Amino acid sequence: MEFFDHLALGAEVALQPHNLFFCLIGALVGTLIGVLPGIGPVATLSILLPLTFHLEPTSALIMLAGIYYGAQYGGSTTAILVNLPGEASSVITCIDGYEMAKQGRAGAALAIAALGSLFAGIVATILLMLFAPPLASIALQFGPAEYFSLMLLGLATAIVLSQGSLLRAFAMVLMGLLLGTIGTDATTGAQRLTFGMIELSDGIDFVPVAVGLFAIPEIIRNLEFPEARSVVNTKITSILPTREDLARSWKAVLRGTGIGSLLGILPGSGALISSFAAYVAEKRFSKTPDRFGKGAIEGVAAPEAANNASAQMSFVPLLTLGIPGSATLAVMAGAMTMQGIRPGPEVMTTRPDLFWGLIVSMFVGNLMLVIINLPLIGIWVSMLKVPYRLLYLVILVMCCVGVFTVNSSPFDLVLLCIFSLLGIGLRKWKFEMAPLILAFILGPLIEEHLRRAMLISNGDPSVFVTRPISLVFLVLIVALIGAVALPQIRKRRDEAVAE
Amino acid sequence: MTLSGKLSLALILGSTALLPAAAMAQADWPTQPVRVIVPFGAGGAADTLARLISDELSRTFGQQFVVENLTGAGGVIALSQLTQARPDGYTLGVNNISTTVIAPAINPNVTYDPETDFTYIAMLGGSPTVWVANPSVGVDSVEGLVEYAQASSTIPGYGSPGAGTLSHLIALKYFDDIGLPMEHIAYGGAGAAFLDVVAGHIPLASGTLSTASPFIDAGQVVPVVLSTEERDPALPDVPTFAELGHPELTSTTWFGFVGPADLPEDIVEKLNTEINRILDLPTVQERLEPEGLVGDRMTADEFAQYQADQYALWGPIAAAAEIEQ
Repeated sequence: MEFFDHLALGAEVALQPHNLFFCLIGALVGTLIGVLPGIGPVATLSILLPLTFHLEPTSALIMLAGIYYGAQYGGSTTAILVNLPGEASSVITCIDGYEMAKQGRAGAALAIAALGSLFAGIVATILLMLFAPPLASIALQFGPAEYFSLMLLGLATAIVLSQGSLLRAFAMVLMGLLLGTIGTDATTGAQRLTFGMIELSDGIDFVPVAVGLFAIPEIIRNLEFPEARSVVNTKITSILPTREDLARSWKAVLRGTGIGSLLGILPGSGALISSFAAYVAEKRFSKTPDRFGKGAIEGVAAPEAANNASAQMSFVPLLTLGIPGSATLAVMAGAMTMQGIRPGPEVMTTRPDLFWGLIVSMFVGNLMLVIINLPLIGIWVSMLKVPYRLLYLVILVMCCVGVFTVNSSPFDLVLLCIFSLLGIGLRKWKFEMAPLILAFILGPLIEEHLRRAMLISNGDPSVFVTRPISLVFLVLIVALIGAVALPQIRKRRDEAVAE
Repeated sequence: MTLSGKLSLALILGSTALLPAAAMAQADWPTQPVRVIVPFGAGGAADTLARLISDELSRTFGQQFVVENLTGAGGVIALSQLTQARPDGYTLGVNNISTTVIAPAINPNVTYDPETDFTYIAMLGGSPTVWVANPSVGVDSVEGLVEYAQASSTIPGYGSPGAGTLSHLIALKYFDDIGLPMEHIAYGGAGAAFLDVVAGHIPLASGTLSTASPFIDAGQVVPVVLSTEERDPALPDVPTFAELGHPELTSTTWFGFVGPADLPEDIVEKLNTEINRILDLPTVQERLEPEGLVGDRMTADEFAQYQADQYALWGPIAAAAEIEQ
């Protein structure tokens, strides 16, 4: 059978001692950068890329891929422990993960995140081996109209995510959209809201915004109300998840894996939307949606599984179409080109050793990551026992270093200050950050695809409803908003739940 | 005499005393590591070129040539920094058609003048532009494209790697010259535009040949016209713009090696000779294969002239395109 031939060929390459070594290095570095607050995979890959220049292509890619999905594992660690998303896709993990940490259950949250990611990673890799080319053709079905509707659906989930006032969530969405318009207009090249500052012409980077809105306000609050530092004060219960945790999580992991595998194929914001979508799906499916936002373990399990599955699946468009789905994968594509290999449909036929070797290395890498991560959980959790007056300084310095390394730009540090002040203010007035971040990232994509779709159709908006995939997403949006916005439905459901 | 007076006198004396030393230092340049600023991220064509060349330059001159990626504002930030550097041969950089030809013509925030603020050292080559059509559209020539557009009930769109990229400007100028209304649809890079042609969401795209090659080889798109000087041996049936009577559209999305203005001539000479030698090395050629770079090797003077000609040609076209940056 073809599958086993490929598996054998891949294993032959991936299990060579030097490739195992590079896989391990990749997994280690990935975990490390995931754990260091503020230092994301894009910056790390860019820094390490030159080092792979003299490596053999397969080894180089195995190592870089290890860093990429290793960072997905590690990224959840800071999200859970210190409320700092390392990447856009772990924004959602902060919500319930950090709540769990506050309740002294950081260990359980970390363990579920790692196990869920392992499961999702392995399932997605098998799907990748079996169906890469047909999956690529699904990605081709998505034109500007479909992407627009999908991204809009992603934005609609922001409203469902909100724990408190809908009006406040809506205000945050608007603010995120506004921040997203800063920069060069993609269609006309016009400068928008850049105030003549050349540094703003590429728009605002995600890292200073995320660190400024999430991490810094958290530090300030902990310093302001020492009694709120419950992460430190709470007695840390068992590091391993309880039987009840596992029972609650496994379905969430399955659903998260499904959602992540599906959305990961789409170049663009697959990983981000999949983690949000998985969270919203859990909240909808749950018999006790009120637990979400207060430390529900499903709220960690589902998005973590989803983002790891989609990280794995995002190799589909890269390896079969030559299209990198994210900034991180663009660096991977660069690494291939640098080695004289053009990413695209012919990689599979001209370099089967590299193609299958890389994929099989993902099995190996995922296993290594869990072996590395599970014993480390104890160490991470015990770090929370470090006196906060020392811990916060370390977090603060790491955040600044992380923000600076993205573009080596001092301007980004100025942005960090501005967003920190904004974040502190918003937190004081009880606004939520997740809708803002989601809108900030999706806004420019929504606009780009909307304008592209309208240009293609010569200004006829009916394309969004006449194309079936797009229509499905639009119907989902209406259903979602209807379910949340109509208070009587909400009330009735709450009563039904209460009974 | 006040203390500050003494200080400035000492500084003046000191700096005049240093002059001959600086001149002497040029003779045995380089005596310390050299910074090579790349205005784009790791892994792109500019980065690959810079790393391959710096590697060899380090070997030749016995000093490290250190590549530094300085991204932002489409490369303009990095080149602004380069113009601020001392012209001593220890700060060099990579430029391209967008940073020293198109951006200065359309972006009022660009603070440098490409005609006076750089020393042009060596031309590195670039990828030509190709137009590709979706096979189901049935277009394989420019005449076919015109027929298709005129028969269409709506204005057909064409994709480009972005507003103000060379591939966009070429299409803009050509359609303008022949009076064919076509809707421009900007993408974030040539790959995304070609992918939408493959999928049939748009009928046509204009972008770099290096990006299009895999799709052309796989038969997923049909090449229509190329911006090379002569026909590409790999695509013998695809005509050039020059053949269609538009020789001014012969162009590539080129890269170059530059320094700040007034770089000493002997350093420029050394670098030009070395870089041209390096670009022809078989090992380097092999690594550069996927980048699809074409172009003749130039002396530094020829490159400076080429830059000036390009600025005179594309500057007004870009400015007239109403790409308000």
